Amino acid sequence: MSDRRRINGPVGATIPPVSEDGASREVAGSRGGRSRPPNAIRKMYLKTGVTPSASGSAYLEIETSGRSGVSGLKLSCTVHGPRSLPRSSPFSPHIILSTHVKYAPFATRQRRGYLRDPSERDLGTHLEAALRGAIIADRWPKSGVDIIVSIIEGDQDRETSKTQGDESWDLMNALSGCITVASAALADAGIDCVDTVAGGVAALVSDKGDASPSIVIDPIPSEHDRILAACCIAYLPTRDEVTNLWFKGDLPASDTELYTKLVEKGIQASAKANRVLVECLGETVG
Amino acid sequence: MATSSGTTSVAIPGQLLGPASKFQPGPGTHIHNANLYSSLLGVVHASQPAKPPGPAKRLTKITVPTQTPAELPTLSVSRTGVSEKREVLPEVGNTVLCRVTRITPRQAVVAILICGDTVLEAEWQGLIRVQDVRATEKDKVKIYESFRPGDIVRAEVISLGDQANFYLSTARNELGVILATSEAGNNMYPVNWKEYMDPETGLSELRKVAKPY
Amino acid sequence: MAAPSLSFSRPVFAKLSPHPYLLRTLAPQPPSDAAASRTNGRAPQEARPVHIHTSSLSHAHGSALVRTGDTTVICGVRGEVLPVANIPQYRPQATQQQQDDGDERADERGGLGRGELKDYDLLVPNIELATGCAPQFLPGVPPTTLAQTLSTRVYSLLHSCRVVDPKSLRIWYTPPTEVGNNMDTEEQQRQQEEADDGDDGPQLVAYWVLYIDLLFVSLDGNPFDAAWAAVMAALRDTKLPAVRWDPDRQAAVLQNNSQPTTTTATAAAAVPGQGKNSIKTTPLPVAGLPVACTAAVFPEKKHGGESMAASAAATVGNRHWILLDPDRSEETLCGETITMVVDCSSGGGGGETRIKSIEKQGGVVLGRELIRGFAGVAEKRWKEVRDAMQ
Repeated sequence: MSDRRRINGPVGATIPPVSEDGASREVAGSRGGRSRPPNAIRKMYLKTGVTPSASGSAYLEIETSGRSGVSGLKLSCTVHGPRSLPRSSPFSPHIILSTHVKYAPFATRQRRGYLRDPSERDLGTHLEAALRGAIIADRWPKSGVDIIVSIIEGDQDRETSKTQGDESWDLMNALSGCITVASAALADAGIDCVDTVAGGVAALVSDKGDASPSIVIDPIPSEHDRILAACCIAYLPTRDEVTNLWFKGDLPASDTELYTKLVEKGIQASAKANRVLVECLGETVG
Repeated sequence: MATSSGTTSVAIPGQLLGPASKFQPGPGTHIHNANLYSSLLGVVHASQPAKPPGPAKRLTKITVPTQTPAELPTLSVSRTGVSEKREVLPEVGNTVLCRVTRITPRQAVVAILICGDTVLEAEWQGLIRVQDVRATEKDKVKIYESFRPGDIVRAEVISLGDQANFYLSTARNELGVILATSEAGNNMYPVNWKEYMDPETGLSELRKVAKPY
Repeated sequence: MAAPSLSFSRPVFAKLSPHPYLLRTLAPQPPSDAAASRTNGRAPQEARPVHIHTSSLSHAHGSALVRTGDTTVICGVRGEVLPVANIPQYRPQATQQQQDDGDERADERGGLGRGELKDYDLLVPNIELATGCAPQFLPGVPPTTLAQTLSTRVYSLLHSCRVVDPKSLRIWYTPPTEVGNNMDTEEQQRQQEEADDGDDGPQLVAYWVLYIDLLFVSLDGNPFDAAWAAVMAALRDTKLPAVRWDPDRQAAVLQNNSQPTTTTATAAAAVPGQGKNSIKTTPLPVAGLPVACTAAVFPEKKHGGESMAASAAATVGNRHWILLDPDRSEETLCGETITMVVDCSSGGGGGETRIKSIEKQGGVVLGRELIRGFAGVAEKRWKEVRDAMQ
């Protein structure tokens, strides 16, 4: 069924041009490895107040890895509120958070539709959990706040197709960016928070040259041969609290040390992102 | 009068401001583990207690020890200078300016535009019930003789109200309609405590008029 | 003297009674010698400066970011392939020659929006406002009326201005002349370019469909001008990849430069990881540069009821102002708007101005003379936007 409120284009299905089989395999071999040390995150650019008509807003750009065709993450976040709740909703003694994450149609290799898909809804839920722990909700009774993150450009390699199921790993990086940008936008909107929450990702990767898998922070899926597991952490540095933890992958249950190490690295990544966030917020006042 | 000290510094959410034993928490701060933290992005203000001990007013210094808790300086973080947009939640006792959006025989529904001297970004809904319009002769009040949609009303918040509305009252002389438009579409001026007049048509309309300052 | 003698601070006054507030800044009272300006500090016929960045998105074939004041819009153009087999009402025109002849005939007829572009829906513009770009546009709801209107206006303007030539969207395929020939793709390709005769001539197998997606990051009035400028900038930035039709897969295959026989292959191989990115692209030809210019009419009287407006129009003193490039607060106060699309690019920029479209909504103020005068304003705006695009 087509949506009559949009311009849908031709009735017949359109297909993006495919790349030649040989080419993509050849590319897979020539992919550059990770150029940063395992403990470094990519450069981030964060700016608040990009949408003056919103109560608060922020824009986050994560540097591309330096190779052409690989896009960095570009996120724009707007915060609307505190505002009154719709008349139908029941009384709430605290602020009600609603989060919304949407990829732009041109954000990824495949064109995205305008309706939210389950993975975007999932991102929204994780983002809400991460922020709920940071907001002092009872400062604003019977009010609501809308947090909207638009992913203008996803963290994706343009040409590496069907190398691995790396879409799910991309979601982790996207979520960590969403958390950081939303945190900046909340501060810009003047909503009470106990701390500045920031997101960070750590992953257990195995590369061809290495004997054993290693843990890196802020992984780019296309830079590694295989990602075994990854976790995305939302972390409050002064409180030393984790507000959201999202772990995915395959780890032996016996080796709990590996798991804690992964989480620790995730916290480390988050702390680094937090430094950028604090610096950005400090600059806005003055 | 509380006065702010000369030291201004920027705080971000989660920043440690000082021990809770030495400061009183003001707006924009919160207490965690006996310490005072900022909860907003803004400028830190320290205000001395209203009655400074001792004869000389030395205001540039945050004096601390051996005082009773009531005399502790209050630390607050304000958004002034960060952004002109400030959102405040109307509180009981605040004077607000609002626009009438709808009237029924029992109440007038208003949109609160300005709370104190803060221009609000969001529109909070308020309700002036018929019993809260006037202080005297409450049983004779008729909403349509007091407010019309489009009027700008000065009112006081008397209750946080229900899930959607703040309850407001105009039961004081200086509260009531401050700007009104006639049925012909002209701005009117008040002639007495219950009438506004259209300068072009000369017709007067009934309102609960606020006493001009 | 009828004005209330209450004194408010400026922001309070603006919030409580926006109409008199704007009126007072546009028409200062005699004692004050302040120049007439709008509440945002602009002169009535002063538009906000335009800033345009292109090619910032890596997944789109063409992209642009346009910022005018606090209105920011991002446009991404992406081409996808529509095989003719997927077109239900496809009317084949056998050879390239016939197809081109058909174009010329159609051009002579001068019919607007004719031909493949419209019949097969090859241009798909969509505007997304529900990004929280302004408080009233929150996600989770179907497209608002404004978003639908804007999308449709962009769609019809794209067709009526004939910005994109359908010729540039066709994908051809030349069947191999001999069966069982073990030509490699390179030779086939050369064959394709050379063969233009007889029955073995190239066949039209597919079309490019251009998905033009617009995302408003921030909205402070005048969305159409910004959206249209973004569409034009993104289309001019669009480079479609060179593709080869693969009849077995029924798909278009990207052509790499890094094929062993091409000379660029060595250069590409010298830089590791570059080879895959050097896909041949051709810029999309874009005809003309139509620029939209919108203004709103601000009347002195707020309540222009029909009978009143008619009688008041006769009376002296019912003034009005034409506010170019209105912002959000001005848009809410103005009932009458005009959008003129002009193109001065014919004849190398100094050519004559062509009016591509005029849209006027609401109100009775703008008559023939004012609209004619407005064309001059639109011309000036065209130059500003053209300069920003370069």
